[in-house]
Amino acid sequence: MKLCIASSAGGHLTEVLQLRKVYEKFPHFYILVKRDDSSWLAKKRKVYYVDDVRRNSKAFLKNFFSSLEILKKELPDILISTGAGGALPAILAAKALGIKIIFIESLARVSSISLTGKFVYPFVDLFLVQWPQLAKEKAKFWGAVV
Amino acid sequence: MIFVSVGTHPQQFNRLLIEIDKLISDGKLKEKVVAQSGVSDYKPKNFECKSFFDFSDLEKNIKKSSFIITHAGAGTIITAMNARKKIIVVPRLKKFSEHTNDHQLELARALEAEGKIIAVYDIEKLGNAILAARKFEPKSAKESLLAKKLHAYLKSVKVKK
Repeated sequence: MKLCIASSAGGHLTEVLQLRKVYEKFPHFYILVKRDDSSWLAKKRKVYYVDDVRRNSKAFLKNFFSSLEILKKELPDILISTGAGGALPAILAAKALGIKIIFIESLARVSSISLTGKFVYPFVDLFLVQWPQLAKEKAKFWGAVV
Repeated sequence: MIFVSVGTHPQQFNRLLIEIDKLISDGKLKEKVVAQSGVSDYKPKNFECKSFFDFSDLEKNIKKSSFIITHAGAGTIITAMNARKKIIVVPRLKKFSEHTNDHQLELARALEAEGKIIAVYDIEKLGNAILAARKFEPKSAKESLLAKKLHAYLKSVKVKK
């Protein structure tokens, strides 16, 4: 079982790193948006960097094709993501390749789902929220990262 | 030492830095302050700040601090909670162009309701919050249930050979 962890930089990365004791039990690698505060992880783990998307379609396509190449090469069984939009191309590339997807909505989303969350909700295999009031139908509350 | 963090979000949060500078000038805040100022352009007179810290320096500064004052960013809050620090949260507000929406306000209210942090909605109340922090005993979460359940799920997934 191989895992791919896909995340933007900043708080989204901090959140997914809270789960490292779980996913580090399996062979894994990261697809991260390249930024000053995400570059340190490459010194410790296998990381592929992609460019940020910033709601820009050219950048989105570039990120998507980079992610597709990475996923085709690595062939993970599951992709885990906390978003945000910068990780969306990797999520879509995983879907295109038939890779299972776990999406974890941010702790910061207390009363409503994020834009990325709304977009991926229909097609991910597991959709987790961190506040019980958001649990509904497919969206499951399994607790918070902290 | 008090560690102040405005996070990596690409909008300013001068309101927090200005108030801290004022509290120090007025003699209401006597401890040393170290701040992460992100893209804020306010230049404080009474404390040092740096735009960004790499993650391990951020953790080190949080560990060294007596408590932290932070924007309501989930990432910073989580890092401070892991270090078992008292946290004063000042949510970034859309009306001051500090964020694109008011989800930080929701997060601050929700965590305050759980007794995990002290929240400051009106910046002039920051001084009082700092006094309250000395006596504040934050409620902390037990072991992450999400981690347990996620682990169980990952173990149960059948892998294509």
